[in-house]
Amino acid sequence: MPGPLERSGQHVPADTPGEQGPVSPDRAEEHPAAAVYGANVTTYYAVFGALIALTGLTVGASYLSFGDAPAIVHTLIAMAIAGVKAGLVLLFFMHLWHSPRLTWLVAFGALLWLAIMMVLTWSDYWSRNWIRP
Amino acid sequence: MSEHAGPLAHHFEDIEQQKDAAALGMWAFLATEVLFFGGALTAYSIYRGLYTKGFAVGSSFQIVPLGAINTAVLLTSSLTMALAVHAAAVGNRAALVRNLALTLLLGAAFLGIKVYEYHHDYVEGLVPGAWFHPTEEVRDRIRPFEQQHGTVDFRQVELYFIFYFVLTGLHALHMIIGMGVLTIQLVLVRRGWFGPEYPTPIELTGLYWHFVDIVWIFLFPLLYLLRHAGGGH
Amino acid sequence: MSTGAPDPQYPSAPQPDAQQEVDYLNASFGWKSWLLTTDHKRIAILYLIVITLMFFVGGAFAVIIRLELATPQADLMEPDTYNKMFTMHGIVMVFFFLIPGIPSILGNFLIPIMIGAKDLAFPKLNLLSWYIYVFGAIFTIWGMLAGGVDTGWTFYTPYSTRSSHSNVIPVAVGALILGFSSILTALNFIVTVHRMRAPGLTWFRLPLFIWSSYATSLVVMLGTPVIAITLVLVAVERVFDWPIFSPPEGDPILFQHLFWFYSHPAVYIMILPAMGVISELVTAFSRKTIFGYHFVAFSSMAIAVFGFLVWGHHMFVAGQSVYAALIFSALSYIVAIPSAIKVFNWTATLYKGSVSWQTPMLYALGFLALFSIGGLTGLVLAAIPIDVHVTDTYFVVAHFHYIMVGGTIMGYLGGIHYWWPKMTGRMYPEGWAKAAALIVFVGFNLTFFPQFIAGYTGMPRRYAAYDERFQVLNVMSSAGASILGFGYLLPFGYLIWSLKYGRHAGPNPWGVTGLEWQTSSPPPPHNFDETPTVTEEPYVYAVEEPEYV
Repeated sequence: MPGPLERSGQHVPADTPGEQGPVSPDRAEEHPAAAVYGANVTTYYAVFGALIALTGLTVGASYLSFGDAPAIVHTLIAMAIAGVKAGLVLLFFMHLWHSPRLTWLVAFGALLWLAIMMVLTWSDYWSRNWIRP
Repeated sequence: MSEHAGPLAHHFEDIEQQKDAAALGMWAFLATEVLFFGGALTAYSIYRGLYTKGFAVGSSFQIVPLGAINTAVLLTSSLTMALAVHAAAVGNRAALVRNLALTLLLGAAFLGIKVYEYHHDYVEGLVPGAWFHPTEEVRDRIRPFEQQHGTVDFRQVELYFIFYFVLTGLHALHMIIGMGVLTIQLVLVRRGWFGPEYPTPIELTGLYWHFVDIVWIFLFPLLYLLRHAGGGH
Repeated sequence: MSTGAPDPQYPSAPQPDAQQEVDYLNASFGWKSWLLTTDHKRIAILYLIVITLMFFVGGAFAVIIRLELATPQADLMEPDTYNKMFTMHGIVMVFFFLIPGIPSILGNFLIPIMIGAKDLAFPKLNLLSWYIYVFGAIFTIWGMLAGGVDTGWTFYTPYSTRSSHSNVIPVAVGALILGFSSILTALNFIVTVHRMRAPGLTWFRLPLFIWSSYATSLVVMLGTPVIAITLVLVAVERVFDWPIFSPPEGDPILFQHLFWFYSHPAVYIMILPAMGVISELVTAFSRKTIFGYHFVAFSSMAIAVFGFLVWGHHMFVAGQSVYAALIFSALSYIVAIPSAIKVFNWTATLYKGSVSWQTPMLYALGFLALFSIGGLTGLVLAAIPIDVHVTDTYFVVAHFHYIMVGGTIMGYLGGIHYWWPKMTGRMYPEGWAKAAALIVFVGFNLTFFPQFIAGYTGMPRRYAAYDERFQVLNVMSSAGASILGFGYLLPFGYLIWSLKYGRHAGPNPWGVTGLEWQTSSPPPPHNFDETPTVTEEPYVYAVEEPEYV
């Protein structure tokens, strides 16, 4: 949408990304709503298929054995797959792919803050035994 | 929500500004939900690290096929929700009604399976607190695990189940709220609301519903699939 | 100035004649027009009423505390009762006054006007946030009347979840409900500032009050959900007897991590809005543009971000790892830097300005002095070797009261006085107001400075009884508290008086810059008759360049 500079009639440099997401011009002519809501129906079914497949993958991976490796290996694999699934839902079902930059910032900001909470809290437990009284 | 005098609210300049504001508002709200569930997940992750054996045993008591089916059910409901949003945007009222109803139905199916799982845990004596008395049969099930990893402290298993019920309970609560909103919108759609000139409320519900799905995408492996205690233990 | 055109939001409003202006206060009458309003200005006034009420509730607990502490023995009440007093003082002041105070009153009123908008992005959500506040307040007060809570406002486990026989759950739930109100307000502010600025109003033309409110809102959105889930877990543990945070399986330190992850940023929620007010006051009453606009704006954002990285400094003696403590200590030093930058910039703004001594400026200058002391003592506490000795003593109590009361409340009162003519169309009596400001300043320092000494020499906090060597300091503190209390009652009196008898104020009684001063006092229901266009930076005052520097 036009920001304050555009609406006041003041000059906006041509290469300013503005606050639109990467919406392709031809898609915008298909249907005005499709321009805002991005993906078409085929994409939804394809993403759905991928999500089901990844679910099967993560269930299968949980039955693998890694010998003497620590338990966290399974956690990391499961989280990686879950991350891909969540990414697909975010990008295509939630239209993040076609959303303005600000929406991306909100999504990543939330994840970053979650990471801060987890990492700094873990750092306490992880380093408890480094120094013995 | 639509006003009597058309969808544009008086304090916005145009409908585009209103839609952008609504979408940003919902995304910002979902960011708070990330931190809300995230706090519980942080606690869960700390305890899983401290009590790997007990939590692995706890996970092993879950019925993985049921969890996997529920995951598929919720993913399907996300598909139908996305299709509903699309239908609203292009003005296909029949598809909108159908997909909203399907989303509701799938949500109900998810909750039904969860109720069955909860009951199963109760029968096995795995509900924490006053109801925690794992049956002999349950204890026998983990003998092979204990042979490899040593005796399991069942207080750790209880803590696992505390988090299982809190996390899935909060998730279910969010689903119920979402289903409430879906029901209201389903009724309103049949009265002519949410046409292609202002499908935004459906999109907002969709964002919320997909988020609830994402939470489950992480809960499922974290609660059901981490049945291993590693070699070092 | 408003025109005579009927306002669609108030269809039953009387048609104004040539003399009478339609403003948001007289556009409609009756309790329904207030309790069902979606006008951000009316909602701000609704908040003013309930928040003032809660301030006096919290103040009443403070009076009781200071009465007990006037003597070394626990002679006024049982120690368990005293525990309830300081707990409830903390909960009411933190959750129901300091956190919502400036944002829900001044932020709600001013933000749309300052950016040239007709209302916030979500007016109905705004009204809902007020009702949620009231609901949370009722819940909490009920919990207090039904026996109170004695865990400290910090709800530390396992006492709060296992041993305490007090009303932990209703009060915790009350705070939880308040969190929702806070989140909805912040969400409204963020979307409004992003999406509803007037033409020409780019980010770096925004008043600094907006930058501070925006940064505060970010902190609220990211932090409050964590206290929400933490209180949910505490309530769950208490109700079902599930040992989430209690030994042997549960870890009390984990509770503290989750609790302080929010509660430290919460102190920035409490101070950032006041800092925003100070930026407005210092420029207005030195008739000079802010020194270092970008630095002040970015400092607000830096405080918001870094404020999330320091929570472990509340846990130096709790049992967390030494290495984590070191990291938190280092980060706590860093977080002081943007605050210091702001103090330097405000001071530099005064330099060679045309300074006048009206009441809002008195509060602003008081803020500069007292916040600096509070902030410096925070650095003292960030040093682990010192903190080990002064933690849980009155040194800490004095430190945070210097910031919360010497900082935030001074900012709050300065802002209320500065924008009072805008909100009500009436001037407050300047003589009384100046006297009150001075009484507050004197009373505040007499109350809290002795506490630094008491704490440093060993007096612990949260004790009803203390060693008699601390009595002189405590008597001074209690005497100061009575002066401070009187100082707070004065504005309550003369501000209400001014509603009927105060001088009528024009649109710009202070003669200052800012969009809010370009509309009538009080503003019309839709703030502006035409959306203004902004073409220059804020705080542009005519500057006389001296011939010789």
